Amino acid sequence: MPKQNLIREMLEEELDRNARAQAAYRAQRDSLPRGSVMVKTRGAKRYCYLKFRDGARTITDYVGIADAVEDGLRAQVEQRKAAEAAIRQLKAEQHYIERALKL
Amino acid sequence: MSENTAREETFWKLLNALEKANVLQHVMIVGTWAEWLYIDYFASLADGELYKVDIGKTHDMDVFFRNAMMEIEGADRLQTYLKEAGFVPGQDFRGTFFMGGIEVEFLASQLGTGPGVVEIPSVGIKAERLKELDMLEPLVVLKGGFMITVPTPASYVVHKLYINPTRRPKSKRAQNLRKIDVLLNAMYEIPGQMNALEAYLEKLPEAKLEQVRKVARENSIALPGEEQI
Repeated sequence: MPKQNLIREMLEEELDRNARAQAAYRAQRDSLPRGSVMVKTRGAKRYCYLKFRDGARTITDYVGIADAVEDGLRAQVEQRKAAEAAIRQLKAEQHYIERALKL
Repeated sequence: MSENTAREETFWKLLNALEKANVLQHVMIVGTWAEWLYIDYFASLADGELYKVDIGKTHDMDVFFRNAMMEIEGADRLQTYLKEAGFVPGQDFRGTFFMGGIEVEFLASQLGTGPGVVEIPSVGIKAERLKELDMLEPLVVLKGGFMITVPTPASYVVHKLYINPTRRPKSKRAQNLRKIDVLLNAMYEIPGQMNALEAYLEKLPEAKLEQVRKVARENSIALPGEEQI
């Protein structure tokens, strides 16, 4: 197999793997809550909300009593941010491979 | 953190999840990570480091279930442990997991079956069935506090030579042969390795042996018992 074809095949394989990784992280991101966690205190109780943008609107969704849900919710929001960061990184790699394939 | 350090960290996270689920002792690490584990193994057998492997370009970690149908207590927690460690399940038909650009792939033997994907009942993860994985004989190495099963270098070399003509993607064929050549050169310097290789070759059925020797000859790879041209 000529060397150029070998390199092309390797890059294409990397591109496939990159696409599979992006699909995995997108699925993970979409299964997690978006926005930021907000806690409001009323009287003796603390209530947890999720605040996020939907186009021009800012939406605040009630999630539950803070003691019961806050830690889990914050962890999920962090996981979503990590998934978004991974997708950004993978997209950058994808563009790099695509540029190399055009050479 | 360097890219290689990050890769190593991902590898240890994988092993940790496998061990927590009681699965590590039942699987074999194959591919580039097995080669990477040979570095210390060879260094323990010889004076100094005779062998180097660049893990900087590898994007996969291959885990071979030696007995796909075996019941393993606690193994059903593997997916949970992988997710807790930060691995993300893939979305296609294969049971892969991702961490960044690293893909963890589970493999099973094709023995008595055809190619395709099989679900490993004990872990509920799909594995790709690959040809001739049963040629790999186990060797346990100790690294990072884990007892890790890898193929013996002899069986690894012979397996790679044997499957080379049908290796997919084709781009991996030349690359694999280069790596095998480097590994063999190190094995020639390490006491016992050539004897092990000779003994392994002797056990092979005639047709397999002929194929292995043919691939080695065509690529100027020196096997014991063969004159180098």
